[in-house]
Amino acid sequence: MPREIALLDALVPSIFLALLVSVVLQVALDKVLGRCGVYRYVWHPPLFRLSCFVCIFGICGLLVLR
Amino acid sequence: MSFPYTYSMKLRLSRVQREFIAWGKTEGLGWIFVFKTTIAALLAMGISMRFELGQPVTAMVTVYVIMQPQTGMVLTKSLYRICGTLAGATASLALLGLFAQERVLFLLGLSIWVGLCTAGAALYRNFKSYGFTLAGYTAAMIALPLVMQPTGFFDYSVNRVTEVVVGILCAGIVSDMVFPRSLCDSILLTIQGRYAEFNEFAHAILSGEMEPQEMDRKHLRLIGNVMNLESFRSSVLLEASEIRSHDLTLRRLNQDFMAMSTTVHSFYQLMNRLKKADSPATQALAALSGSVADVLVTEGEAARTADQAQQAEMRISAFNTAFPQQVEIVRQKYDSFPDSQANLDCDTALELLCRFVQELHDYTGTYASLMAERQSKRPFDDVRFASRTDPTVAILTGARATAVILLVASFWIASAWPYGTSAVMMAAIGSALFAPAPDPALAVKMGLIGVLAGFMVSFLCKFFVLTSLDGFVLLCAGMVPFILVGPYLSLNPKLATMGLGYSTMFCFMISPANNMQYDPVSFINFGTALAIGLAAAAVIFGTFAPVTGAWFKRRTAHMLRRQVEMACFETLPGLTHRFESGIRDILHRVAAKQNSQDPHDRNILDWMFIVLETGRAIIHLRQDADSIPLSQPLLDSVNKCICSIADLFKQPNAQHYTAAVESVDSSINVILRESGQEELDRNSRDAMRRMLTSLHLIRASLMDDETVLAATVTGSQATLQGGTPYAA
Repeated sequence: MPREIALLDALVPSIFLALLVSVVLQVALDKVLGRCGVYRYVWHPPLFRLSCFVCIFGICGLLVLR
Repeated sequence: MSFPYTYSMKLRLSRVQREFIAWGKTEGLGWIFVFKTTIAALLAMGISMRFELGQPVTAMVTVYVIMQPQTGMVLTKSLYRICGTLAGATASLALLGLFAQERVLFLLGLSIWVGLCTAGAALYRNFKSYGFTLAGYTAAMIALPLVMQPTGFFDYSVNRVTEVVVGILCAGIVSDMVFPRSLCDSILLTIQGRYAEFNEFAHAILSGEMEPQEMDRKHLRLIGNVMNLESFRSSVLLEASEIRSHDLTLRRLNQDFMAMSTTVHSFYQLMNRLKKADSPATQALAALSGSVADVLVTEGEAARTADQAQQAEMRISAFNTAFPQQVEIVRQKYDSFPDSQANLDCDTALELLCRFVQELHDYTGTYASLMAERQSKRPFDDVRFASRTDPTVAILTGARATAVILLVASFWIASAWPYGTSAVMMAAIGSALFAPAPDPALAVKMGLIGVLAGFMVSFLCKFFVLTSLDGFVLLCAGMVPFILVGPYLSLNPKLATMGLGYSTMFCFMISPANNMQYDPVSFINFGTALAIGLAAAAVIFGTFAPVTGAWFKRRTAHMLRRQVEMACFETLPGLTHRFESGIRDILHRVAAKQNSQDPHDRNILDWMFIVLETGRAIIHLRQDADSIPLSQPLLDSVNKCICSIADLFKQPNAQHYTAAVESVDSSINVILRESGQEELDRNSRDAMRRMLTSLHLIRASLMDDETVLAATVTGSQATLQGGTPYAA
């Protein structure tokens, strides 16, 4: 994929789209994990959530920029 | 020999430990917040500098504005802040595109935009109001620095929006990661505290130990509590925790709580009137209400833990089943009164007590289910919190903001002041940010003090400390001692706006950048312009139709009376909750101050009590009238009675007053006549009796010659002169 894409004629880094996608994925994952009660077994739920997001965003970003 | 020595050491150590733990639970929490805010602000500054965004100060100010002790509050505030920022950026694009050449039209358009946003902020509550505030001042922050070079709009606004988002992310992540303090805990604490407080309040009323002056204060505290819980509840949405699944329970809890406090207050009023009239029923009623008071507490303590709540629920449940028998005994004893008036008095008081016990049972059930983290079994109906704002007041608030900006802008144009942009910008920020406060004039004044302090401190920091330091780490180290002050001040609710003013001003004045500018002349010019902009806001807020003034208070009383009209004519489903929450919402400004010394505030409170009492009675009357088939004459007379009461509260005057009392009397007579008929079944007989008690309650509060209603009707505004005792 190109490094930048034209969004309404403004150049936007394509990693921005990866960010939006990973936010959606993260919200979905958060719902599922919360429903299953996983957070009760985690020491620091916010930290766990942030780490999940970093992993997801990292994967999406690598896929986009590879 | 060594034993006593070690022992005393141990003792001393444990004392030190205990002291330390106690400090950590109170003062320590505050310091954690202070350090979290500072870390977030410095992180935002560092990131903005690393990415060369131009003005790291925007990111820092964002952190200070949205930082709150509870994580959920920060996240919710962030969401609205992003939306508000985007709306503001769009508005500034429109303004610059339309009027880049025309300064008068441009400033007029800007002031109208800020005014509209401020009006919107006054119309809504909590974070919605915050979104409006931001949309207002972001437009000013983006559009004003660009008036001289409008072609740079796109890059400039992209940088500003990016900085705002960086600030929001830093604040959100730091507050969520470093010693997070979840909103869930605060909500549980609030609810527990309130349960205990209400039990104490109801206990004092029912056992007849309540001082009238104490009563007002307590009631205001309870209203403040309702508004608090509602604001917490509305911001819990973005916090991922268990409490989110209890959203309906929380709403329910607030609803039950309001209904209960109204009932207990009506009972208090009625008992006062009975005592004054020396009614023979008083004694037995006092004994009965004493027994209700006893069931509220276990061994003098209100329930705090889940177990205690369970026990309280069971105890009240048992009491609730046995209570009708006790009531029946009292009723039979007094049914044989020759005087039908005393008979009705007694009936009404008993009805109120029964209702209170039922509501108490519901509330304790909901409370216990929340504490035990299980879902309440009861079905939910429409329990949305109604917010009521006087549109006139919202428009005036907006007009005030517009006036501030126009004043500063015309001074700028007339004097060709080089720093006019900064002054107008600060006037816009100040009037948008502080307008939704309970007392905007005071908030701006405190903010101004903070700004002046920040101005002086930042001068010291910038020209005596930072000049001899080099590099990012030393920049942070040089600033930390000064920026710790702001968040610490804002921990105290009274000094919160002062802390905000201090932090904002300090960041603006230091304006850390990759290429720092050290120019004392422009520093002082810029700082003076900012302070003058805010001072203009303070002057206008204090003089132009201030919300603490008499006019506003009269409007509030008017809004309260409108609630009775609503109770008379709106559709029944969910009406009780809309009515109760609407009244609490109208009073939130008064409740925020929690002192009833001001005669105008007293006047509003007196209106609130009578409106609550009458409005609730009317709603009950309508519900009971709906539940059974009524004969045509009775239906007509009840409808006429409701209309005449609505008229009275619309325009309280002697003529409407006589009409209302007459129609209530005639309705009572019609019901008395009809309920004597033989062919009625038990159901309709009960409903008729409840209607009768509702009507009697309305009549009693109309006839009371010490209420503010009586004072208004007879034209003697005695309560307004102050000094009158509690109007029963």
